[in-house]
Amino acid sequence: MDATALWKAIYQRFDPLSPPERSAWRVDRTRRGLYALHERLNLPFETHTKILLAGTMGAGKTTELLRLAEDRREREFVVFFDVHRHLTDVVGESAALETLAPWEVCVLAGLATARAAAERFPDRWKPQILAALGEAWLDLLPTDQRAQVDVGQLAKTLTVTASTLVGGSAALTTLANTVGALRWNARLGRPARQLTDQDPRVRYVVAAAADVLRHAAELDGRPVLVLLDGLDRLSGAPEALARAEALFVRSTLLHELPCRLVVTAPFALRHHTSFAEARGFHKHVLVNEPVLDPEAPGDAGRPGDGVAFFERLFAGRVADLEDQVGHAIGEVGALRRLAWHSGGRARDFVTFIQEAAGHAFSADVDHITDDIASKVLDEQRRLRETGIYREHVDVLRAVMDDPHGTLPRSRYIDELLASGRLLPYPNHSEWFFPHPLLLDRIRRP
Amino acid sequence: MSDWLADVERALALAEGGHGRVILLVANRFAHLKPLMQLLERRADQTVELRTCASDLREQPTGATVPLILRRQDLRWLNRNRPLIAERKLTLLVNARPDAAARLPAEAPDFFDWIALRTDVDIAPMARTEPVADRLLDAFDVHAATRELLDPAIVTVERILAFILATEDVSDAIDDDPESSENFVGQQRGRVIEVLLQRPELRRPVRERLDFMKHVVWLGES
Repeated sequence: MDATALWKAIYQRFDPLSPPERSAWRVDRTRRGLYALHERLNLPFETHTKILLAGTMGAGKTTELLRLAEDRREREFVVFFDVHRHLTDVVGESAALETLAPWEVCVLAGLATARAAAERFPDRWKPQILAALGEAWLDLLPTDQRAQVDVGQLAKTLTVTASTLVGGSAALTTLANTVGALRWNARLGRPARQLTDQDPRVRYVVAAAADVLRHAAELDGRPVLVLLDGLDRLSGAPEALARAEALFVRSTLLHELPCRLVVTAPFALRHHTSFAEARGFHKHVLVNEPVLDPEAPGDAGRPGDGVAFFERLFAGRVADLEDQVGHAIGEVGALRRLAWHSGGRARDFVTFIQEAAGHAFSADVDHITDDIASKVLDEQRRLRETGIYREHVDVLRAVMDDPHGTLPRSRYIDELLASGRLLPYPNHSEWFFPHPLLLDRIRRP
Repeated sequence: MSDWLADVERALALAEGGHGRVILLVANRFAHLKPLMQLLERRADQTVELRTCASDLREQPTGATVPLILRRQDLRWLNRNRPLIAERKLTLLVNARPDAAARLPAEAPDFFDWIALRTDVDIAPMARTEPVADRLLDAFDVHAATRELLDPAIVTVERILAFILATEDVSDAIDDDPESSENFVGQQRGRVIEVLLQRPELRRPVRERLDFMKHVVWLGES
C-alpha cells in the first residue's frame, strides 16, 4: 500500500459527517453508557420502557444508538429512524422539526415500524393496519391534502434500519427509500391548529399507530424497540427548549406507544428543571469522554481516562492498515495530544485525524507525528476561536477558575454549550470546562 | 502557491470519495475568488459555478464541489439542512467575511460543528477603499437587490443609493435570484453605478471595484 492509498483510506475512515461504517469501528465508551440503557431495557417488569437520550452535539449519540440497535437485534424487533434526516432529505422541510406535534412523531414511529415489518414479513403483514393509520392521519390533514396522500407509498420513502434475518441469524438491514422521487405531500410540522392530547382525532391516530406497533410485535414474537434519532436537532434556545417540552413534557403521547422507545432530546433540556418532569421517560445523558483530569483539567500532561477510549477508537479503525504497511500509523504521544485536545468529543477527534491524514499526505510521511499533531491543533484552534467575543471569554474563564467546574448564571451559557465551546464531563459529579482548544485564548490577559 | 490555496488543494485531493466536507474560507474581500475558481475548474476540468444562495445545494449532484458565498439569511437554512452535505457527499467551500463567519457558532451551531477547516485568505486589501462603498460594490458582485426594492414605480435609483449607503450590512441586500425579472437593482445596475461615479468620494473605489468585477464577469461567463 503506497502513502497516497494509506492516507486516503485513513481520511475516509475518519469521517466526522457519518457514523462509523463498520460495526467493529464502534468501541465501548469509558463509562459504558449503553450498559445503563441495556439494564433498563432488560427489566422484565417494564414492557414498554421509554428513554430520553440527551447529549451534547458531537458526543456520538447516533453512533451509540446504532450500537444499541446492533446489541439489541436478537432481543427485540429493532427499528431505527432518523426523523431529522427524513424531514431534510425526503420531505424537504427541515424547519418542520421545530413545529412537529407529538402525534406526528407517533405517526412517523408507526410508519417506520410498518416499513420495517412489511419488509420483514411480506406474507403476513396486514396492509389494512397501515391503511387505518393513514385514514386516521388524513383526518388531521388540511382538506386540500387528503385526496393526495397514499400512506403505503409514503411509508416506502422512509429510510429505516431494522431487524432482519440473514442466514438464520438476527441482523440489521438498512431499508432505503424505494420510491425515489415521490413527493412527500402530507405536510408535517404544520397542523391545521394546535391539538391537545385529548382531542378525539389525536386519540384516533395515536391508537392507529399503536396498532401498527402491536401488529409488528405479534408478527415477530418479540417486543418492538423504536430508536428515534434527530429530535435532538431542535435548535435555537429558548425555542428548542419550548419545543422539547412540548414533545416530551407537556404531552404523554410518546409514552403511550406500546413499544420500547429510545428518543434523542436536545442537551438544552438537560439543564432545565422540566427535564425531570418528562413523565414516563427514563433520562440518560451522553456527554463527552472524560479526557480531562478533574483535579488538573487544564493540564494536558495529566489526561483523564477518556484518552484511552480514543486510542482504542483509532486502533480499531487502522489495525488492518497497520498490518499492511507494517508499522504504527500514529505516534502514541501525538494521538494522546489530539485526544486530550478533542475535549472528549468524538467528532472533534475524528476530524483531527482526518486533518492529520491530509498533512501527512502533503508531507509525504508514513505516520502521524507530533509535528503534524501541532499543525492540526493550531488550525483547529483558529476554527474554534471563530466568533468568540470578550463576553464569551469572561464566562469561559469563570468556569475554568471555578474549582468545581460549575456554571455561572449567564445568557451565554446555552450558546457556548450548543456550539461546543463549553463542555460537560461525567467523571465524578457532572462538571464543566472550556474546550481545550480555547485555553490559550482564555489564558491570554 | 499561497498557503490558503495549498490548504484548499490538499483538502480537495483527499476529499474525493469521502462523505462530504465543509471548508471555511474567511476573507476581508473576495478577491480570492478568482484563484479559487481557477483551481476548482482546473481540477474539475469543467466550469464550476459560484453559488450565492445556500438552497442551491439541493440542486447539486452527488460528489459535487460547491463554492458558496455565505449570506446572513442562509445561516438557519444551512444549520437545518446540513445532512444534505453528507447525503450528497458535497465538498462545500464556504466563503465568508469575518463578520459573517463570526455569526456561525451562535446562529448555525450544528453547521459550524461540521466545518473541518478554517482558512484565512491572505489577499492584501485594496488600498484606500471607503468601507460603505466597498460593501456596496461587493454586493454588486452578486447583483445586489432587496425585496423592499422590487417595485420600480416606488423606488428610484436615488432611493436605492440612499438605502445601500445607509445599510450596515449589505449582505442582507443580496437577492436569492439574480436573474429574476423582478431584480430591479440588477436591472438598474448601470444607472446606479453612473450615479455613484458622480460622487467624488466614491469615484476611486467604484473604478477599482469595476476593474475587479471583470473577474466576476469572467467567473460568470467561463
